[in-house]
Amino acid sequence: MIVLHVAWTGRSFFIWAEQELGSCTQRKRGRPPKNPGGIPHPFQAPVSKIVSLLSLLYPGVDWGKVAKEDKLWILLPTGKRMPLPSPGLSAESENGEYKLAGWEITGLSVPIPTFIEGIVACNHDEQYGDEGDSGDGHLIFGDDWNFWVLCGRFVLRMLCRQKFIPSLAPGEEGGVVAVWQPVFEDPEDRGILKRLISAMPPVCCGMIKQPKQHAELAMPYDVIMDYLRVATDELIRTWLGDVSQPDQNAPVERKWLYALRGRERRIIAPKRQIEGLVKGLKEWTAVLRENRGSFRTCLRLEEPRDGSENWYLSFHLQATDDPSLLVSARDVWQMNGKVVTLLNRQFEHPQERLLEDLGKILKIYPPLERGLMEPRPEGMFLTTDEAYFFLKEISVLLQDSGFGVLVPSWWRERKKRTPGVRLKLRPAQDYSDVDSVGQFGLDSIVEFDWKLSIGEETIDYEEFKQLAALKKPLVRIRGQWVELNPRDMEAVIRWLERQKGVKEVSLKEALGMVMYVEDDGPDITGIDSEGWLHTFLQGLAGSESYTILDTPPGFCGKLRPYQIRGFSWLAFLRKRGFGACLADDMGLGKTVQVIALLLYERECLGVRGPTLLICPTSVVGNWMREVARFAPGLKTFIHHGTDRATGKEFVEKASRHDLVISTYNLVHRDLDILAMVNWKGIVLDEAQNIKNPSTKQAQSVRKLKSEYRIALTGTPIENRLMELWSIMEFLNPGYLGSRESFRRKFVIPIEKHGDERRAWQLKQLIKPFILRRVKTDPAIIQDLPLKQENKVYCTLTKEQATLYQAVVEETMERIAASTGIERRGLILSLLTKLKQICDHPALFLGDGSLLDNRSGKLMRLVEMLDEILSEGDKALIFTQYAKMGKMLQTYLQRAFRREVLFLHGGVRKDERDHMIERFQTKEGPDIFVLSLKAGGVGLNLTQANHVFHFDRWWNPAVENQATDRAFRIGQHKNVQVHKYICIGTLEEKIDMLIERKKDLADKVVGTGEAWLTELSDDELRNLFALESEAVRNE
Amino acid sequence: MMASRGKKGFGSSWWAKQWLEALESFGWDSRLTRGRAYARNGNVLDVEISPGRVKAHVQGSRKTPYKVEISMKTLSQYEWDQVLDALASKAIFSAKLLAGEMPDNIEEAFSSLEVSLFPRYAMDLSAHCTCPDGANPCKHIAAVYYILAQEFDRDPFLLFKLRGMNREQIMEAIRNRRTSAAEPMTAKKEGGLPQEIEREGSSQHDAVSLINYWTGKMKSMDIKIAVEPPLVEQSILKRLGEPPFFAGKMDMIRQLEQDYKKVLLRAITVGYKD
Repeated sequence: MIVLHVAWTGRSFFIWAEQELGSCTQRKRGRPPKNPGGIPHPFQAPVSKIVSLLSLLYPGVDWGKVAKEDKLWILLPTGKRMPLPSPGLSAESENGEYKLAGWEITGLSVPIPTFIEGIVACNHDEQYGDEGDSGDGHLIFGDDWNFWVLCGRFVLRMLCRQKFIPSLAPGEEGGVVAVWQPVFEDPEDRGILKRLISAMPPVCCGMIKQPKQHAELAMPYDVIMDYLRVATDELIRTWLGDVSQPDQNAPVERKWLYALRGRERRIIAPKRQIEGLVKGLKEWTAVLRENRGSFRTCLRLEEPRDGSENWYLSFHLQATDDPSLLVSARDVWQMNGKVVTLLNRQFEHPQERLLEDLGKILKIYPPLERGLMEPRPEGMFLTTDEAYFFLKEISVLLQDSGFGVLVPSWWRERKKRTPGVRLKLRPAQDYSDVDSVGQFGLDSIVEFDWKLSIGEETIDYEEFKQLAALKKPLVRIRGQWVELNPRDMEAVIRWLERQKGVKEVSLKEALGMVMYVEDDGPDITGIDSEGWLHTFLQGLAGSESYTILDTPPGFCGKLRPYQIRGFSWLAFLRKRGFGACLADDMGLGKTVQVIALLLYERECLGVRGPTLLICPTSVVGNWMREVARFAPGLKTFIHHGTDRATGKEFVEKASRHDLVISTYNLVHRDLDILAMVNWKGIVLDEAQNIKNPSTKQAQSVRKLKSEYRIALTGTPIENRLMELWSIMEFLNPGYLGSRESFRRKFVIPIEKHGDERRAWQLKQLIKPFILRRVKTDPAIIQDLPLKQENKVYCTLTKEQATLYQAVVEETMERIAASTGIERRGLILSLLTKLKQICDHPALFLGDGSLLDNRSGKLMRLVEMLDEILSEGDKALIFTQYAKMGKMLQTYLQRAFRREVLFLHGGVRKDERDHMIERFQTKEGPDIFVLSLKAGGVGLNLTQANHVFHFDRWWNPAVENQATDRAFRIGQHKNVQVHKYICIGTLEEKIDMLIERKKDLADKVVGTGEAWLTELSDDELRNLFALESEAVRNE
Repeated sequence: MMASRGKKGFGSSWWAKQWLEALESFGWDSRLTRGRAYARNGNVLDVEISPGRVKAHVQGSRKTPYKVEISMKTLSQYEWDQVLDALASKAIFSAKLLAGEMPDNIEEAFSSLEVSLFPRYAMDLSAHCTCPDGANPCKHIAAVYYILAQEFDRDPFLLFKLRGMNREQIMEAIRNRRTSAAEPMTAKKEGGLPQEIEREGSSQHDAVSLINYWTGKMKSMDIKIAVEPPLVEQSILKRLGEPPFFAGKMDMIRQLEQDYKKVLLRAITVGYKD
């Protein structure tokens, strides 16, 4: 594990990295640094490693050449011996206080342009961790790194929007230097700046120039402003490049212009000339420094009221802190006196303020003169052309200059009313009843036509041509003003004329047209459809668009209303052979909705034949249990294990069942035999497993034949575009075009340029096929219990199973041969050992071995946490075993690259309170592992909305007490409780015993696990025996 | 030291020019020219303008600066009323004056009146200098005339002040004409600092910040920064106008414009890099 950091030194960037303490070649232990900065940071990564890492991540830069090795000193929270590692590195927890102390860091000094052009410009949105293997496990970008990358984008934004001015500054060695300065006048930029200041990780302020300096952090504001100023100047002058030097006698302003580019900043000129330049610059830029007080002048453009072309520009004073507070010029002219109080805001000379501002606006907007020819002007009329110029250019200039501007609201939305085309779709065949008769699918033939449009409005050809011929930039169409670019309109007309010919295509092709309009073609502003097509394209938005079905008779249990809607929707798409993606939040019951569908199609549609379900190994057991519970009538078998059926045998076996459950790992390995079956349907659970379309798993699932396809996922895929593509490619192949064209058409415009139009188009395209409900949706919340308990069934790994069996066999012999207290002791110790094995083999063995891929529970936990964290939720994880807790903390910290808290019996009270306080703040850690004994009572951890019981206590009272840490009566959010149970082990058997016999449960509550010791040998053997289904066998 | 700005120096605005033309029309051209170099080289040490009177110190060939005093006829109350009526007749006059500019169409407002802001006859002005030169204007007085042009350029209200009314009085008189009845109120002191992002608003490092030392609030803030081209190109340059010290040097203005364009293009390329 490596954590990359970057620091701002005032002149350049400084890249360094931390690594795991254990992996350091030089294990120098730091003494408590009394004199800050004297001691090298004990677990920093060597420079050579950083260079090779950077070369891997950013191959565009020759890092060995550009970056120079350097040292600096940085303040870090320091315990007794060591600096605090950043989150994600396994901390050697040092109890006690942390104080700031300086450490010497060796790293790479990187020039500003290199950092901005080489790193900031390539900000990958994806996590690198998977690919960016540094040979040392995972790579994390520290938040300081992320922060400076953000600041780099901010500078690019400022430069791109030309928010800078040339200026002068005192030189470091006396004299003056020419500089480019950023100008923060736009409220949006000020907002970003403010947010950057408050988001800044304190470590960014920890740079110290000399090792012996008094340890104090710089102010965030100073650090950021210093960076913004230096970076702005440095980038611009580098980009402009050197120019030939003016001669010595050139006028000072020419020398200044020269010094604004290239390396040489200094201006050498007689003092008097420089003074003149300073004064001139001050005068020139005075406008940018002005204070406008609590009121400012505001111009409001009102559109013609009576169908005329008379726009009206009225003059007002406007409160700066409340733009809706306007005082018209008419009222201002009534105000006597010098000081006026308006709505508790006092201000001076309102008339003069308004007049002075109007005088200034005149310089930006000379036509205003016309409106100032009377003693008490209130406004002036503009023609449509003038109004357009005002809207397009002047309004921006005025706003940038600090004046208020109010324009009709449609102007802001005008991009939604540009000329384009709408796709009109009509079924070639009309079905009277959408639901029962229509066997339409993506291959159904539809008629299509292009209609010219402006925004939502369809315009007929002749009218459109007339509008284009007007060559007016601002035109009123059916009462609405629209900005038109005649050239665009002509391009649209030309494009449309080329489209004549085909009028009937398949639905898939028709929808694909949105995809295949050339990049320079017109915008597609919408899709109009009729008949069942309309119903279909509306997706779930129109709740009337599909029939709400009854719960299938064979379903044991009750579906919640939204689950009935969900399964009806699945059935609706399934009947048409469309692939559907059910993307409900975790805990809303995607599994039962699919089970209901499977039953429904067999009971009500007469489907015969197998459906294939593919899921991660970790949830196979869960599916088994859920199917058995809700649809015992479904004939199901699990295709896994070394003794799994092959070839013909498999095909026959499959044909005798309704549901075949298999895993992603096997899809590729057993593709040959899986492909021999004509599946009724294929369901992918945790479909994010095929998020990378080029993996073998993803390619394999696409090769399987079936009548319909369903993908289940709990992560919001709309925002992960390549994942979306991969899943849609499985569901409805070809629908979103090729991977490359999808990337060009959607991924780049949306993710890089924030293209809202494209995002909207994509949403329209996928809307019919994705159903996502979130648990915070009020309509869903009312259907959900506040506290929702789920049992999460896990399987054992082969290692776990082998250990389990060996321990049972060995101990059962000894139990049979013993009596009394010895027997009891043996039983209880066996119980503990087995529970530990179910948790993790390493817990049982206690050998500190690696944790990956050895525990079914742990693997499932990671999957579920991944989903929870991506939703921004927080989780508590309870375990009985403090050692397990420590292992979980270390493992999860690595897996999620973030800090994980762990509370156990050995934590002092003040530390415990501190942990709780941190967890309860929004900023704080998201995962809190607690040993059941330490975390049972007296804690208030209501920030969590998920509670995991990694192992079972068999004592509902204790478990509930723990659960209630997160759950408080009157709490507004729902809490989900996940109880982990290993299938086929004593965990499940005891759980079933308790469920079956409530009286036993009562007994258990009273006595804990002691009752087990009263069982006979046979009973014990039954209880402890490992059932064959327990093992995951791959 | 009163350094003059620009190469040509005096009277870049029309009213400053008018001032100089008025003086030249008195047949003083050659004598005035002698003061120009003085004014340009900063020999006029200070100028104080009060109603009807200008006092200045001019560094001559001797060690002690000469004292120059110029008197100008102030307008009578009747004349002022006419001027103020004219000024109040169109809002643009006040607007421009307050924005630091002499309204160029103010002349036509005055032309109907028998009043002028500028001296009409040599006798409207009387000047005195402590130098031994008997000529009037001597080059010290001439230098002050030039500096006055520059001062009027800087603040158009000074011309009014010289003719008898200061800015406050004028604005109040116009305001009274604008609003029917005026009630005098005590003025409050101007206040307020330029709108800077408040430095003190930026988060203080305290004991608590050690908790999030490595992370700050990066996780929860979710800051999105769009790199996008400006709505109006070169907005700042357009608003600031030409730098005063670039007067007449078109190549330098164009250079600056090109620089802005170059930066925009480069920033887009970098910001949009795929």
